[in-house]
Amino acid sequence: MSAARPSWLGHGLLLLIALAFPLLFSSPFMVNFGVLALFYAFIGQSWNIAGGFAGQLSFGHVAFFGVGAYASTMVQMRLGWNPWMGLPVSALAGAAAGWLIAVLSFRAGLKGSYFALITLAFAEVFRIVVNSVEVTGGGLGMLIPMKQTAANFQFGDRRVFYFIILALTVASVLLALWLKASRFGARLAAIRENEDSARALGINTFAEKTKIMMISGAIAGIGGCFFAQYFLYIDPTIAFGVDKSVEMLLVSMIGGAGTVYGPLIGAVLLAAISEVTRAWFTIQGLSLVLYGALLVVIIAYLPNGLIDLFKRRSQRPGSP
Amino acid sequence: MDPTILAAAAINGLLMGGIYTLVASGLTLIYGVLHIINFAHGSMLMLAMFGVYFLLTKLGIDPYLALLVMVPAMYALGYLLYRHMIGRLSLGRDENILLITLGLSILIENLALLFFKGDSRTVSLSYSDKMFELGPLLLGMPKVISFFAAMVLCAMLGLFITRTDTGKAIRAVAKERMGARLVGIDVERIFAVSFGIGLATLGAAACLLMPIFYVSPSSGHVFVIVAFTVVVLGGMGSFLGAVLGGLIVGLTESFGGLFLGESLGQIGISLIFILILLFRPSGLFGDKR
Amino acid sequence: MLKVTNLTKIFGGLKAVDGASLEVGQGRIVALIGPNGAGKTTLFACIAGFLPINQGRVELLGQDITGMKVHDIARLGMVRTFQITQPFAKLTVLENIAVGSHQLHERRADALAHARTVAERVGMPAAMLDQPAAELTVAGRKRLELARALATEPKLLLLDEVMAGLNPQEIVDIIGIIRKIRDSGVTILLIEHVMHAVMSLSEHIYVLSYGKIIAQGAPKDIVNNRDVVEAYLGRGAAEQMAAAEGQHA
Repeated sequence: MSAARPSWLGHGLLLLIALAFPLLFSSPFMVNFGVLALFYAFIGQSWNIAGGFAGQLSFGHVAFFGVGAYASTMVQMRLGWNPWMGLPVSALAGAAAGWLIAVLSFRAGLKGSYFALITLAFAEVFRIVVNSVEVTGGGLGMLIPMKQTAANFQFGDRRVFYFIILALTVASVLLALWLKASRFGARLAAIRENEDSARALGINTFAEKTKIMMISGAIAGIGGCFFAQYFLYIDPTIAFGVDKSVEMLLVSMIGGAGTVYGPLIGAVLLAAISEVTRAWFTIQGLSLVLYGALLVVIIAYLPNGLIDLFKRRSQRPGSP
Repeated sequence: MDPTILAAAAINGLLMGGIYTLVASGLTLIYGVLHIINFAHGSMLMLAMFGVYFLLTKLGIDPYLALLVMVPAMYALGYLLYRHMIGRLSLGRDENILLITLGLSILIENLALLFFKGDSRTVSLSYSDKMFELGPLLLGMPKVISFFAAMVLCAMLGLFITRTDTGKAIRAVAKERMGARLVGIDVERIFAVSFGIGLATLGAAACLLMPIFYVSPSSGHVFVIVAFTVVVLGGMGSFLGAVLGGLIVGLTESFGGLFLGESLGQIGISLIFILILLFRPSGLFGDKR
Repeated sequence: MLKVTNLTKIFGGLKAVDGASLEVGQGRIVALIGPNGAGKTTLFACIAGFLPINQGRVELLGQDITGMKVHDIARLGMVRTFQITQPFAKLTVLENIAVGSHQLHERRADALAHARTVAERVGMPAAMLDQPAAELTVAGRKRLELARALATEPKLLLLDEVMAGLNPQEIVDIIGIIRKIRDSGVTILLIEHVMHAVMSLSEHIYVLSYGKIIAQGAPKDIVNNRDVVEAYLGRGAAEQMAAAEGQHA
């Protein structure tokens, strides 16, 4: 048991704060900040369960995000489906992409840096494909016509989006908590620490790794659907560009990879940096500079992430 | 398809490939000696290219002449960067270093975005439009010059590695770190030297690329995938592999663009990268690590 | 329990294991010894499925397991430990063992409880259980390797130099623990260099040299076997020893 995980009281308090937030701070800026922070926490958790829990660091996680974003947008725009269907569709699409990349990479025995690089290449391939094909709108991307009704999964009052992403984030936290307490999660931790030993103890590492990649892909896919509905526009760079991969990774590594709350901490920090630099300094791209610097500093000095600062007595780097 | 067009595509591909080889040789050296996958390779090339750009636009120095400035400057940068930063953080898992170089590349790329804004820059020289005639083909002069310069530099690098004492020390450290230490080689210095050379090749490549290409803060991404593909194709740590890999990648890019169009054509390189990693991760010549 | 027939493993032209055959009866303790580099760990790796075999067959309880995946073999009941210990570094000792327990116990609470009992069987003090595995001493790690494998409730344990690096007292402890494990119904095949332990524990010994089984038999027969002596001490050593003994007689 680690000192970093809040008790039931702590959980309740956090949830209360999160629920009250948009009611207390209802300016568009603050609501947007809240949505952004939760969004990063959500997709960050997607990366976290694959990279932090199972040790499969990927540099191309945006691939699942983009697949979800495009899948949900296309069924809406090309097939005329109800936009809410985008949620299950994006989850399935993300999971399928996760399965594909996992099966190919793990069958070839790729791990560590090689795995990270190949995921990057896959994301790039997806980007090039949607950039070159008409049905996805090519380089121009896809614009979702504005029609702000609940049935259309669009909301003029951004606070509704806030609560939606809050619900999704809470679900992702519950998933992570479940993983920590389950046999599946214990096996993933074993695989992360030493794959050979894990195999020797009867764990089908290929199957477990593939499973977590599918789950991770599904979550990122749902994130893509949400993003598309929130901004009503996606294009190859937004959906498959490296930036999102970096953000998903950063949020977890900075907050604490392999922990349940790391991505939340990282997300709040990242969203803060992003919004503050944009609003106060009006300098484009400053936030990313800070992200890069932060990554280097954290890896060098606090490799377990900021969550280490929250650990009181027990200084051990165990799985909390 | 008109054979002339095919031939032109092939030659152009090979010419670019030669420069890719130069870029990749730095990466493969850094990996071979330090076992670091330098994710910042692409953004450092971009930085060097901006350096060449400003040397021309502010000081009027021709890119090819700028070699005399850029190569030593990048070497020094690499040496110092290793000594004061990367060297300290090198202890630890492979993935940590990868993440640190990733962080560096993000830092560099976005600092560039901040200072130079997002537009692409190209340079125009007095001989930019001159052509060489090769039978029915017309080849841009800068491209040809750059190709030969790249080959010469690669050869020089190869000779350096095989003939000089430092080169031998480098090879020793690459093969067997502990053993090299035991025979008295200052391994830390060799690491710094190797990293310096790795960046120096980027300085050279920047000079050769500026006349024929463009630079923008996001070029880093493009170069990273290209460089990595060349390296895994040829085999991590193999120079001959880097040469062949560079040529193959150049050809792929050229033919990809020809047959699939500008947008889809880029897919060739990433696909090669994926296929090699899936089916022959040690590359054409590399040793299995 | 285990039957290996004519196993050959070739690494790029070199026969690391050359036509080795051995049998381990149910409930017995059998040792595999031999000079360094003889191929013992390679043989283990082949038997447990970590390395593909060039020739030969491995049968577990009559079932042909040649070419099966490592985790499938482990689930059938044959589990190996590693010569160079491979703990799950960031997990605690208890969590390490629990990974093994999860083989048969799905719920976390059950697995952790089971892990505690296994730790006790192996003689681990309770204080050790919450330490991160990375902080253990060599002896601790060896014991953890053993406990982890034991937690899967195996039928056959392959122990690879589980005594290397232990001091004499620790060796005595482990010998006792291994005997108790066998008495609880687990068959054991072990690689070991600590000769007195081998002699006192095993009922049957196989000797491997340059990849070949050069001798097998009861401990007392192996000790006097000329080929075995020469494998360890060099050619002609057997005669020298006999001559020396003759002089003293």
